[in-house]
Amino acid sequence: MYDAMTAEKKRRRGFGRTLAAVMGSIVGVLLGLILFVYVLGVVAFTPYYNWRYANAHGFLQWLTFGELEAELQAFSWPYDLFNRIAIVPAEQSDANAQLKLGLAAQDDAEAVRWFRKAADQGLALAQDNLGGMYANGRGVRQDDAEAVQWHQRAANQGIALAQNNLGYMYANAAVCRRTTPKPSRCIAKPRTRVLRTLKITLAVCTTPGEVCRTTPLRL
Amino acid sequence: MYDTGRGVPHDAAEAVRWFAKAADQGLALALKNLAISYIEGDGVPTDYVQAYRWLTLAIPRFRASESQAANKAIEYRDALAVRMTAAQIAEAEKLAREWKPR
Repeated sequence: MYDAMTAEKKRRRGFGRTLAAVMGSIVGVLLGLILFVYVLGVVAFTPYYNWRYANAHGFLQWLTFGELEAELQAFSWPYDLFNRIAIVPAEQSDANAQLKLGLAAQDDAEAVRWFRKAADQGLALAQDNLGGMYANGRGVRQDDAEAVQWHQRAANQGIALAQNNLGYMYANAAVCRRTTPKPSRCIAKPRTRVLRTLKITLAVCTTPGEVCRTTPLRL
Repeated sequence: MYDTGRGVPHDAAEAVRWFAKAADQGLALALKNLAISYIEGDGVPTDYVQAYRWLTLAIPRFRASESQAANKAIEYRDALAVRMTAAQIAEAEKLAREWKPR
């Protein structure tokens, strides 16, 4: 009886030895190998896994090679490894700072780049400035339609200056009704004598029936 | 300068609508532009009393950097004054006093 109990205790205490025996066996080696391959796989394939993509398209979605390529192209240091986006310095991600950079820029094209960054984030004053750049053809190809769109976005946010500029765009667009074979200058006469004595409104037509701009009567 | 890009249609009524919105906030440029619309009869019927009223409101509101526009506004108001009766000017100034920016 005493001997049997000691043997039982010995058998229980020997778990470490039992594990060693299992690991020594073929099955144990295979289990260890599977665990090793799993850990290796997780470590090796984590960079290929896109959490943002998974959140958007359902869990456990793997990146295609095209998406991986796009991600590698978007890569720049410093990089947020978990969210898989480049970390942009605060002054470049903050719309207000971008607007300031645009206003301070010496080069018109550079100013437009900053305005556009801030405008795309919905900053009304940047949208208004970008509209102004389009209206005056500074740093971009002159485009009244684009200018009106940007002024409109800013005006919708209740910015008085943008509302004024938008009104200006509509008021100063003049239609040249004359059919002209070549670019010509047409004079849109102000209707009242007061303004006729003060100012003559000029517009230049480039194509017949084209909508064109007048010289600024309004500032 | 004028030969590139797409144009926008001339829409005087729309212009006045936006000038009025901006003028409601007390923006000097918009007040002046609204006055010009009233002088020209552009989008609204010609109304010198209204024009004089908006110019009167605009002139003290211009900033130092907008002196060019301020001078124009004064020029327009003086041009209007000689074409209006004393009663009309008094009415315009009364209307100006009644106005409050939003």
